[in-house]
Amino acid sequence: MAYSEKVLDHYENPRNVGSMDKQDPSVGTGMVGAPACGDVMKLQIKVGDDGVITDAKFKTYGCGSAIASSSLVTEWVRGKSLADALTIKNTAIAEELELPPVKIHCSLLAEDAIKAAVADYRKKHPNQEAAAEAATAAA
Amino acid sequence: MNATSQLLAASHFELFGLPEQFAIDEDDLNRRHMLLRTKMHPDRHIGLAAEQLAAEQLAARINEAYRTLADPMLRAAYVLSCRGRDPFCENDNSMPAEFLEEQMEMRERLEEAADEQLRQNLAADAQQACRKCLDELEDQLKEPEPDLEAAAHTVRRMKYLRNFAAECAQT
Repeated sequence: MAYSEKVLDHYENPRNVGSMDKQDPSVGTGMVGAPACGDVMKLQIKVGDDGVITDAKFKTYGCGSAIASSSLVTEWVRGKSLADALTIKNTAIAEELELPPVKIHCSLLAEDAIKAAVADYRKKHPNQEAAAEAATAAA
Repeated sequence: MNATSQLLAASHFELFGLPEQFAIDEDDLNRRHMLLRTKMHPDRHIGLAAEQLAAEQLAARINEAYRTLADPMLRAAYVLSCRGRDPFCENDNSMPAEFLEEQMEMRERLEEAADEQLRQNLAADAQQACRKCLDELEDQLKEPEPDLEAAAHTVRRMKYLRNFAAECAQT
């Protein structure tokens, strides 16, 4: 199967590979897997007090499409609020990377990873977003 | 339905005349495979193009069935699929977080492994874990009341461990 140029680009020059301290209160970690392929993907986000994602890192052991999907979403989530990050859909990832139908599940894995990372961060800060909203409303 | 289309539609187990269960006598499977292959060999059908095409389809079908049944992990996955619990269903990505963490760490260790000995040790550990999975599967898929849910999870764990062992061999 031929990968698209965009997949190859992310595969050969992955963006934002690495790890953050998952114990850090400002870090949310999403760890997901695709048992059918035996892939494992870790996506981490660093979130500021205003609820905006300032940094993202990933580490993926899997096929080129899975690596490209996670690399791409680390670029997409930077600068987004948690709520906006959750609106990233796998269909958009698949479209951007021109993934063939048999590789759509790789983009789904990346979407699951964002959701898991946001959920992990929210678990650490159950009240932050409500407080930030209230502060914006008051200002 | 003619004989060929009947065989093409048969399950892997039906093709070899075996009961649909995980436990299998490998020598028996190999014997049945040889017999079936000899009987269905495409070269025996030279002449009519349609017949030969059908024979080739059948040969491919037999190969696929044999590959699946001869491999314990694939056989377990197949039995589970037949019973409505496909372990590799793409809509179900749930894996225990601790297991994924462990898999991530194993792969990081492999990346950092500088010497051959360390890589071999990691591969040996993974193969050992695979054998343990097989023991578990034998137990979990024991008839008449197999634990499909537990077996599906074991198959999924085993897929990861096998991939890892293969990666160790590559690097």
